[in-house]
Amino acid sequence: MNILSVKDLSFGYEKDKKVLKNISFDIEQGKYVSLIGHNGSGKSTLAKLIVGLLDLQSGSIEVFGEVMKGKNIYNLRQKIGIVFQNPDNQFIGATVRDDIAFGLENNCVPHNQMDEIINEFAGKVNMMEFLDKEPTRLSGGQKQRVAIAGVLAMSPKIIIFDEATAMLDPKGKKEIREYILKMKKEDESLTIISITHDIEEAYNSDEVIILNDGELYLKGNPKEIFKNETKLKEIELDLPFLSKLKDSLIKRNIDVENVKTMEELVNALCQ
Amino acid sequence: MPIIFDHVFYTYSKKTPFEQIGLEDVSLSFANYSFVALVGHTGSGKSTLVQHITGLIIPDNGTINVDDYVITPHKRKNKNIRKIREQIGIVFQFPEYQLFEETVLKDVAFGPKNFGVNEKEAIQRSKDALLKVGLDESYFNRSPFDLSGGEKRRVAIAGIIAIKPKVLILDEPTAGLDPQGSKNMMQLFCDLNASGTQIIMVTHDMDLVLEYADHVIVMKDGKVAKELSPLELFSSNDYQDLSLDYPRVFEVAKELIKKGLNINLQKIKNIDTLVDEICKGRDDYE
Repeated sequence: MNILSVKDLSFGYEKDKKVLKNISFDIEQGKYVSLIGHNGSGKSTLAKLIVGLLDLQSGSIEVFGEVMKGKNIYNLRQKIGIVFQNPDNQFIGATVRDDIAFGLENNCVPHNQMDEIINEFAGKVNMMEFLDKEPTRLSGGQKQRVAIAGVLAMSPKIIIFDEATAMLDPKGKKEIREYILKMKKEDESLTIISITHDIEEAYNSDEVIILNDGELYLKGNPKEIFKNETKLKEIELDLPFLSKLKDSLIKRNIDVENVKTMEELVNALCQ
Repeated sequence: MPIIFDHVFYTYSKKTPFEQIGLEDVSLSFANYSFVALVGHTGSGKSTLVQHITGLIIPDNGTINVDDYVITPHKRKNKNIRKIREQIGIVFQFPEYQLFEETVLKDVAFGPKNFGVNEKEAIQRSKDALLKVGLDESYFNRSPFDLSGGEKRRVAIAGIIAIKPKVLILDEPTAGLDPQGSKNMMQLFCDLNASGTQIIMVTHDMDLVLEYADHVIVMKDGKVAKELSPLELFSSNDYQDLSLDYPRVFEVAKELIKKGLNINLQKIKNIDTLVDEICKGRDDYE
């Protein structure tokens, strides 16, 4: 089932400059989709349109088969959570606890259930000991974990991560990613859209959408897409580490063409 | 430029419920290295440390010598601190915090103008800086706030480069940039470094540390945990305790060595040098 359908979407901040040009695609429920492309290719704009933070100019967006329009936007928006790159932009509460509670209050969750929910999600992102701290005084990675807890507590059906781990340290990145995967395991119907520059993350997702200069460049299974190296190089997109290493070796006449994993590569080189 | 920390202590929000240690007894010298990487877990004090260098944060205790200027805990004694701010440029982790002007060009020109460069020269420097970070003329008259995250970062970096600082402090300079963009940006920093700009880079990206840094400072819980070369760092036995990644080329090289290939770890900086070593190692093998 398609949880999200984008049809012929175009958008521009200025009159004559389109940031998105006639974009159409569907996303199936339960998929982990990576959205990649250069800086300024329109990734974040697309995300903001999907969550209804920007008004549509032309084209349409359907969530669960319902067209996003008028009052509907508020209902549909509840099903979609977004975590931004810079968590400072989404803090409201005076303490971490208040901040996670904000979304729950908005959704009229009874007060006696709130504590339990807050504790559950703060625990999941390892921020229990910070519940009474001021969000603005946390470090970048800690802030991001609070933001993620706040979104998760709303139990959305689609979560968009707009480079949400770009500012985290490797351990933080890994924790968040593992948690996302765990979350997906617990609820297979959860759909993830991850805007990322991390090629390895894209490679391991269910589906990849590549935007280039506001247009949909490629969409499909990452294993297939990353095979098409010429097409990716055309728009100067990065390749996974293994492909880059293989490329360099092949240029020096070392035959590693058929190698599929790092382990195989190491073995091939040591024969 | 010599930058020396002498027993520096700093606590955030002292005597409030939000009290938190920022730096604890930090003594360091940036004098002998031209490209220093500052690494450590989130919240370990890296950003706090660099903010002390230009007096954006004044220490609770201890002193910081920057060239012949001394930053002390006594606010009133830190006069003319602007003198060092002109020579040390900081690109912060979130670039949008340092953008404010109506147009990209005006924003970049603000820095040099603020330090007394005349209008014409400031504009020229700004144009040069913008081209260097990969933003062409079509960007000059756009609002910096309509740009994407990666483009904003480029504007922020251009704004600092236009000041022509002697020391460039970069807080996660490539976070949020696309891979090609981060490669170009690192090349730019390398060029600046080669022409005499001292660079201090805060990063989690160990690939960058291995490829570019000549010295590494590891922070942990507000203290200096280690000071050493990249190779020493990645070869140390307790490296895993620091919860940092290994550079990817380093990992591959170690696997190859384990399997008996003769590879000189000291030579490995990036994919190209790794491939060079692999070729050499295989020749020896046969």
